[in-house]
Amino acid sequence: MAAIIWYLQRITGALLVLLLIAHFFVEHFISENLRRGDLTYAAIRARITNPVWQAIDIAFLLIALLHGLSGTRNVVMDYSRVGRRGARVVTAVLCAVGALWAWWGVAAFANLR
Amino acid sequence: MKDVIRKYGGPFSGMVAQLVQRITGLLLLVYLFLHVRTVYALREGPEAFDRAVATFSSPLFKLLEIALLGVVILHALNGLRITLIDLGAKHASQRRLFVWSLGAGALIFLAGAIPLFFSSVLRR
Amino acid sequence: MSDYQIRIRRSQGTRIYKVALGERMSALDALFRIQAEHESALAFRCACRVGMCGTCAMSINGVPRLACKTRVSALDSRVVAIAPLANFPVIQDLVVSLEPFFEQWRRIKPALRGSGSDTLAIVPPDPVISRKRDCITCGICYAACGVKASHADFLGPAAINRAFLRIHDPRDAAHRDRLKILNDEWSGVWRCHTQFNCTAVCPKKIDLTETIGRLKRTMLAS
Repeated sequence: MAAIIWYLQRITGALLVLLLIAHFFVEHFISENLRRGDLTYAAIRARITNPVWQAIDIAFLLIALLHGLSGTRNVVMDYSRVGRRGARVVTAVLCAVGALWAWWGVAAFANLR
Repeated sequence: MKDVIRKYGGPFSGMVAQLVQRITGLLLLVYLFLHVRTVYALREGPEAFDRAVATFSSPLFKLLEIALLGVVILHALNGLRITLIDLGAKHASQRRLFVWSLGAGALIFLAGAIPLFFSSVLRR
Repeated sequence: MSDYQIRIRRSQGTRIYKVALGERMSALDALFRIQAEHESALAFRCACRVGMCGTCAMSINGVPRLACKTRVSALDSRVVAIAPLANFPVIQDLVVSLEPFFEQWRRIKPALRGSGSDTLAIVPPDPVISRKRDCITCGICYAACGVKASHADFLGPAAINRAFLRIHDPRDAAHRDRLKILNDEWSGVWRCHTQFNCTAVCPKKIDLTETIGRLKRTMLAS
């Protein structure tokens, strides 16, 4: 189990680098206006109502949450005195936080006016 | 002071790298929270968007943005270095990789930060 | 001969001693000088004095080293701070108890557990694995490890290195037991965060991080 978490941290990290570069370019350049700071609401809305982009963005968020919360779990386990049983509580809490966060992110795309 | 630098810059530099990785990681989680919050708020329509853009165009936020770029680069390049080591890269290159990643990171940072700085902060 | 200021963290607090040391003298020489000229009650351990036994391991200017192999003139400072080895309980002055180290050492079953049949076979030397045999159990890697500092349950580089040697020994039969212990999320190889502290300070120049990395990849594959 520990091996899988360790492995996933590396895989999600590498994926995030790629996704981040793509996201940065898409958000800042592939829109109506090329100059930074001239992003319009309409341009953004046009992109994020497209289900393909929504899927990509949600996948991005989920991968980022997996990587970040897994790392957080490592930090907590290393620097606190939780012990084995406490670690299970920490894992459960982080999973709950992750689920809420993901739900929040998905909800941002729903019901767009 | 020289002893501290010698201690943590020399044999313990990997430990410093790990600490930097953890701090930048947690900072990025904070950023992610703020980012999702902002996108969520945009559901309310164009007015919300305009308000957000107004906030994010202030010089303070532009500087924070540049700092964000730095944090992302630090975390990403160091993470790639760790992944390379975990995949079996020769350890003799470990310190060299760290220095190279710092150098490459600095270049990428400047490539991003300078245009950002000049186009936004100095526009006022 | 140059004058040095040696600050030693003793049981009763830090004490400063001024001694004149030659260019080729080691930190251990300095301690003997202090013991002879200033403080006969100064407690420290040593045995071979030539970097083979690992007994004189202590923290010198913040980095765990062998006192007999550390030339004072190479430290680039006239002020030398000597303290007992970190991550170990102090008995007196610079003498620490190595019990925590050997407790972890014993956990990985360091002795060869033969399967009975081929225990007398001669194993051809492998250049990579041979380099890992040089461990003198000095405890310096244990003292340098950042994970050890915050997480007392971690096996530590030396124990993991010895387990690696046993696992790769064809005459040994306890692979599965050892791999199970190494795979533990709390104390096993996964707690290593590739800080490289251990590798940087090992007096025998064993690449401990590489050993741990190999084990991680082995365990991932299975």
